[in-house]
Amino acid sequence: MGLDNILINHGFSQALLGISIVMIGLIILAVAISQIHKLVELWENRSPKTPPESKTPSLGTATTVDNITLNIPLQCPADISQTAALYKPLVDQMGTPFELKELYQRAMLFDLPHPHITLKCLREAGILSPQGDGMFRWNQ
Amino acid sequence: MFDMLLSFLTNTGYYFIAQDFRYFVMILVGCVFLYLGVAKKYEPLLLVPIAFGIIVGNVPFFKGFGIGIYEDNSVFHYLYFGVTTGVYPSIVFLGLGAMTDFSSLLAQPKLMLLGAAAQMGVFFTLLGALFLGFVPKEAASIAIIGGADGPTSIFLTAKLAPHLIGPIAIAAYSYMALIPVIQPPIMRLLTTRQERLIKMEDLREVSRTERLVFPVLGVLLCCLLAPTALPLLGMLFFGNLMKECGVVERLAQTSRNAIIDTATIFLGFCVGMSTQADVFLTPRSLMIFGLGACAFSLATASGVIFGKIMNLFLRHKINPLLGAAGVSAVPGSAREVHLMGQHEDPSNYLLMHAMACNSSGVIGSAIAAGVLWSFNLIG
Repeated sequence: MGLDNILINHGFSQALLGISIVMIGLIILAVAISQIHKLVELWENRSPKTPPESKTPSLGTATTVDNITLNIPLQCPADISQTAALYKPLVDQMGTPFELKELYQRAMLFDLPHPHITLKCLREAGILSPQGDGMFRWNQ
Repeated sequence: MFDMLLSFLTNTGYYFIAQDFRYFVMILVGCVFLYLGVAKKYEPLLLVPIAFGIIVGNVPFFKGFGIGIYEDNSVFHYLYFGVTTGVYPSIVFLGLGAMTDFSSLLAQPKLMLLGAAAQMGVFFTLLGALFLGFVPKEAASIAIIGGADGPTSIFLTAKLAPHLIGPIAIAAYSYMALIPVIQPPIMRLLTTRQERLIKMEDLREVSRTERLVFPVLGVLLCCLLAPTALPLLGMLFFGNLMKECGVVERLAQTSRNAIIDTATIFLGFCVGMSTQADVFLTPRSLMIFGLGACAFSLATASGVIFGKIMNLFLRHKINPLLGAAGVSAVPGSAREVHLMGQHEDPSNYLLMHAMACNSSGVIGSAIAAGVLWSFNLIG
């Protein structure tokens, strides 16, 4: 018991080495993934058969969902009401007010594309309005 | 006939409870957890199976007839196999990978360091457990509670100290459910209002290729460093690959629905059943609970403090509250960080950044478990 037990079992060494290994491991992973998008861009730009990713902000990422390809705009869509129609059934299930994170989780569950950006656009459009304490209501 | 009746009555559970009141105490504990899970909605997916398992596991019976979880050839013993061998935690990680979106982490890889920093709580608790007289394998099993990951805690304990699965699992899941109570005071204490008001940069768009490469790269980099983390991280990244590749959507759907739910049910129920009165109601269990609370608190504090240290070197400051989300309790700790940020400024949307830290905490706690397991294999 006490400090003796720590010293006998090399506790300090284990703690120091363990923290170091975990930190180094995740630092290496963080550095590696920070370079992925650069390598991906390099690969896609050097190949003549693959057209380079467009820098136009209105073009977004293609997402394949069950053989249906959707092009999701990086900017908020001009007709936000179409997007809102996708989310309304989820909101109806939850009642009012509801937690935004729960709406986000339901959107993820139903594989709705880019829920984070969509919720941001719905907030900016005033369709989602905050009620405080993380609760929101649907205004439409 | 009277003898037969007497014989029957002395073999009922009522008789055994009258002989040993500790079973009754444990049944009450199970009822309290059930109330917390059902009425208060504290982590119900975990607490409800565990709570009912505690109630069922503490119904006393006559030994030797293959009824209890520790008796050979009993139904519950066969189900318990998945706990003692680490099968259920690995399956849970498969489902977890299939439902996790690592985009926010890929968009801001520096947040991974906060997940790493939060694992310091694990190793400080290791010292605390050794100080209190636990042997190294037990100390490692208790320390991993600081990773705030139930399946990881159960996995490591099953390998190193299976006799402590009950108290460690209950401690781990209880504190995960109590995150809204434990974390906010620590976050408020260690940060200033100005720091809590820091807004994070918008996340960049992450391409499908990046999300496809990440699980392959992650499993190779992490598991080449700590091969003992393979059962957990291998399954986590495999589940994530199934989700991201898009060509096995049926398998991904099954992993994140039916498979993880099945594993969660059996894991929780069997862990609950294993908390029998004579094992659970001991002074050692109290010490484990105390150390578990320290582990959670230290992990939270480590993450927040590391966030503040990072800000000394970063041009674009990060909100140090995100450090508290470096513990692996998904999505509870991310939610608490987001709510605290919103409390200070309703337009401060920290959820996705906090989820990035949460995701890295899952990876970090699995690596920490692998490291602790390898120390005890070598030692």
